Amino acid sequence: MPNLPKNENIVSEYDYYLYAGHSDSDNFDLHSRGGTRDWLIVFTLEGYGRYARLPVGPGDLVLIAPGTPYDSADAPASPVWRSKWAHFNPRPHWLDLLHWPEFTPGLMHLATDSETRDTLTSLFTRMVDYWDDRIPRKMLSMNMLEQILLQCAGINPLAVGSRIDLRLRTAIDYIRQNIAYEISVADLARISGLSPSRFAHIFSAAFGISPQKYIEDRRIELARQRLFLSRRSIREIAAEAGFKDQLYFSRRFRKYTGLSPSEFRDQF
Amino acid sequence: MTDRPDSYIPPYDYYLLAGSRVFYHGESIWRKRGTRDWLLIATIAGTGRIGYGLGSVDIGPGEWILLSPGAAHDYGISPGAEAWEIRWAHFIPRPYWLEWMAWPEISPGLRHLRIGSDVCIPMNDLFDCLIRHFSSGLPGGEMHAMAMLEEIFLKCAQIWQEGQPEYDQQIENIAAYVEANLQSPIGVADLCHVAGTTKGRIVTLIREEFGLSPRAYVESRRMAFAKHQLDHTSFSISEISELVGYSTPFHFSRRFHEIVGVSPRQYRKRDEI
Repeated sequence: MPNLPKNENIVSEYDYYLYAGHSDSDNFDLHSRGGTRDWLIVFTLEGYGRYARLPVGPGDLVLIAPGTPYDSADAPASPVWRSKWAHFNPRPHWLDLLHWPEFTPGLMHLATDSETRDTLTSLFTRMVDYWDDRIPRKMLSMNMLEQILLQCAGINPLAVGSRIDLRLRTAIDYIRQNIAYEISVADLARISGLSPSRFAHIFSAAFGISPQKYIEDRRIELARQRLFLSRRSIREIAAEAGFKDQLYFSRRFRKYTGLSPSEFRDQF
Repeated sequence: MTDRPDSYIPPYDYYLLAGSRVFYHGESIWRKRGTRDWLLIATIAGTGRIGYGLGSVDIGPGEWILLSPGAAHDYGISPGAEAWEIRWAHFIPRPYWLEWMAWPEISPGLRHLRIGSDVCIPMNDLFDCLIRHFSSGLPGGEMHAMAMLEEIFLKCAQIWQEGQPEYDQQIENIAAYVEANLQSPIGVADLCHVAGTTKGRIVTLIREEFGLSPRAYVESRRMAFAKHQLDHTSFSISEISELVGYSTPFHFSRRFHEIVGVSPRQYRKRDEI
């Protein structure tokens, strides 16, 4: 795997760059003593290998932070080790997406489930295909990498909201469909098949906020959209967002936005 | 930030609302001064009518509309049509999207793009996927929707740029030549030779594409490559100065300072880990 990209292969227009490719190797041996100045993400498609002492196989993702020394080699008995990879500098808003569980400092690892593996295979393939082409397409390649990292956040146990289990998904769907009505934690617990306290605990662990806060966030979000996009009266919008009392709605809305609903609407 | 209270600015760098809608008989939207964000509309089925100034245009399946901030919103079902089904997104673009959003303009602030039938279905699917992510209620859903909007604009840019091959080819030849010869002096005569055109045309081409004179354009590429080398290699300033074609490191450092605003050494140190 080359360390430093050549001049003509770089997307460097916006202070970040990407260098993507694939490796098919049956005799692979690489040492990077000082590490590189960029990030490296590798997705193994077939075969087996290792990064330092971390063994990897099909569906494994490895993320290596800048300056991390590592060596890598294919497993002696393995068939061809096939992987797709990218050296990159992250866009500023990616930084939250680059905290994965560490195997050793700077060497991070995620295992994929079969559903995520299919999605990632498609994204990695398109990233490498686009990269082989001209500038606008290289930006598409960068976009694929962003989608890859977002997809990885969904299976990253360190990310907020990762591994949202089916019971919570049911509750979220219920909230979306019933946003105009009163929604109690007891209701949500019942449809999720959990006790109220257990539900509240799992929910907060997954989302980082309580169910009540999540519901109110959704109500205010909906109200903001309606105020912005429709000409409906504030009374109607409050009702649509599940606030029975218009005065209470205005107070909560101000708490979130610093403005009353009508002041907010006047912004547009 | 001038108008919106801080708390209104969403986390990360996105600002996006997206959804789908069907307009039936007589339904329309009218906002005299438009909105402060951009609006993208894709026609899925039926016919809509977009008004502008004193005129209007009917749009059907595969026709997309992009409205700039402040441009009047005057759109709805076309009289005589049974329905107009759309996907829409209100958003504030990331700064580097703007060059991909320069679709052909029908009138100031109103852009129009025809998506060919071969890519129409995948493009609609992409929009649907964006809306699914946006309304998933899951953490990261909006950020993912924003990434898909970026993908949409990149693909749209390819679609409309395919209409101007000759122009693109000349610019591409010039750009490729410049990137490959940063170590050497590059004159306008070289660029004329590479693009197979006249000096006047070269000046126009480069000004339209990059907003710079040929000389400033070439120097900006030298500086971009120098910055990259400063960021990603341990080459010395004098080695880099040679790589990007300056006769002396002193001359290089002075030009770098004038263009980038800091010296090469300060630039390299700016975010030392």
